[in-house]
Amino acid sequence: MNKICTIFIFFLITMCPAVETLHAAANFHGLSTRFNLLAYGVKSDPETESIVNNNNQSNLTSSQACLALRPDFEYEYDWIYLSIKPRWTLTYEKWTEGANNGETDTSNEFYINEWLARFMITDELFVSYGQENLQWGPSFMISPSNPFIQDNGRDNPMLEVDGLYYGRLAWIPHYNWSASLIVNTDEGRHEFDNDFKEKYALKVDYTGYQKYFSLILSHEQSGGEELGLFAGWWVSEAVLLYGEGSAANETVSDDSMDMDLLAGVSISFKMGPVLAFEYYYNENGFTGPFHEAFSFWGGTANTDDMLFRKNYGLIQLSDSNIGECFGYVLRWTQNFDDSSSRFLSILEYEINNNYKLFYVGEINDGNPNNDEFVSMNNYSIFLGIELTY
Amino acid sequence: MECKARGMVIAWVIFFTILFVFCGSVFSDEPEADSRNFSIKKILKKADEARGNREGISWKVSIAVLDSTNNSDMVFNVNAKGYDLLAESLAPAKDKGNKILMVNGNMWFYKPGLSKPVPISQRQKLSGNAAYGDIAATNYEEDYEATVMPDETINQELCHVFFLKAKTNRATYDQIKYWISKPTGLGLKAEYYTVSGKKFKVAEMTYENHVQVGDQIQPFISEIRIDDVVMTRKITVLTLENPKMKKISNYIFNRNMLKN
Repeated sequence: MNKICTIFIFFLITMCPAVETLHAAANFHGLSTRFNLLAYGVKSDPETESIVNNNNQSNLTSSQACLALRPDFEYEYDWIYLSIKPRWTLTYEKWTEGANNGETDTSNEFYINEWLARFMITDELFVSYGQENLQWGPSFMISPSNPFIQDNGRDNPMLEVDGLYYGRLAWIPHYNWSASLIVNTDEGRHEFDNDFKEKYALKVDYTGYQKYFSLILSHEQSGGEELGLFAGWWVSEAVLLYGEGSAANETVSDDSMDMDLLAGVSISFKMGPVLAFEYYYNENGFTGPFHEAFSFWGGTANTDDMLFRKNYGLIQLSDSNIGECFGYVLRWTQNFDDSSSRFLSILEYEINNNYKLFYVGEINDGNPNNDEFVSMNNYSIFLGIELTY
Repeated sequence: MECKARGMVIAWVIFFTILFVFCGSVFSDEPEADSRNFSIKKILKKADEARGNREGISWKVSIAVLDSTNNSDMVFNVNAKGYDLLAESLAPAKDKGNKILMVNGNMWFYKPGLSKPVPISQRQKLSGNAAYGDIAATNYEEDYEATVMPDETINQELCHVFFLKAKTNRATYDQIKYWISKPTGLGLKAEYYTVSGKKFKVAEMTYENHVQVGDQIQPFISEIRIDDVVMTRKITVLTLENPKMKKISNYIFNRNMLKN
């Protein structure tokens, strides 16, 4: 722990002038840089009574301290665009539950989370390959229209979603229309529970007057096809109606097909706050006892799904700019098929142009034996500081 | 169960149909400009030409809120074409890399660290008293119905005075009282009104930049000074530098290109 504190203080003292010098040297001829350093602590309470994490079999930590260096480099000149996002993290972990009870560990890791090489063949045609966190859609809870990955990273913006490998051919023939061919060639750093299979997708986008939609037709190697869709419509200056979903051409079981749908509305108030409601329906979701959902007990739930149950609701209040320095997100997610709920709060305070304090808290409630949200963690709290240059 | 699943599919198909078709015509275009008063339109067009370009323009915009508690400027690199714009934040450091995309009345915001761009309302303010529409080009000639008012003098320059009412939802402001210099044809002052007729902002413009249009060098907007007359009484100053008229390709305004 002392080692981490020492390294953090060293970074605080040395980073400012060093990064300013790097910026001055780097920002020329289309090269741009952004340096981000996060130092945060995490306190969590693993649920040890639940059937999926009995005696903390998932080995969840109780405390963590982390230092993360996240520089971004981009180069754009004429027909070429290159970017790379190397990451270095130093992590101290402590366990107070399960097999590792009383143990601590310090580790560090260097990796490339994202990189991209894109070439402009004409000003209507682009080809790219790289490791990307490729996301779309307007929803907060989950991205059911994305055939590659459903985690949209909105539960904790301080944690990055791992990049997957994609090749893309994008055609932008018109102001309103564009189309992309996308192939997902590798899972990269992301570890899916199921075996990785290549996926191919055709995505067509339309942006009309105060409305937009995208259709995504995808095919999984040695699997079936899936049609995804997301859309938004500004009913007025303040009200956005949106929807997102997908349907596959194969049934999961005799009485269930693979279909996910999400409907939402967000209302922007004049003073700044935005209120959002979402309902998510997962046709293949599980309504029975929680433990029966999993394959090791004969269930059919896909453990790569973000949410296992059938019906969920979300209500969120957020404001990103109070007094030009404070922002918050308050999100309540209710699982309608069991009694569990999740309350997420994100608070950010900008001390000045470079330093920001942040808090991300998640509290789960319900019956640990049968309820989804409380089956792994009772709560977790992130508290930290972010430096940006 | 099969019937139930089929029922769900039908229900959602109806939902999306309502979203796209019933509630608004997806492929509709805005009404075309009314051209009943040629001379007024000509005056407005000339004033517009010193504040943007329909084919495309790029510029650097610095925004300062004259307030003792906030002394940091926001700086944006802006690419604009008609109503659409892509603004990329260059400073302060905490906002570097943030992007705002306005296309066809839709707005998306992206900042480094976010997994994807998020749709935001046009109600969101840029900074201080400045709206996102203030850093885009103006197109008052086509967007507003003009009523002629008696001439007035601003800074010792005799001005045409027009009262403009928005003809399209795309316009940033509902009503504008607009002073255009008679000798130079440049818009010098604007008062902005709500639909109910309440004045809420006053802007004064200066033109120290120059751009080449065809064979001619013409003055171009360099500063907009915005005074909020209702809420804060703060003054927001937009400084526009390095304007370049250029053709901007469609891909600049494509939402798929926003993240990188």
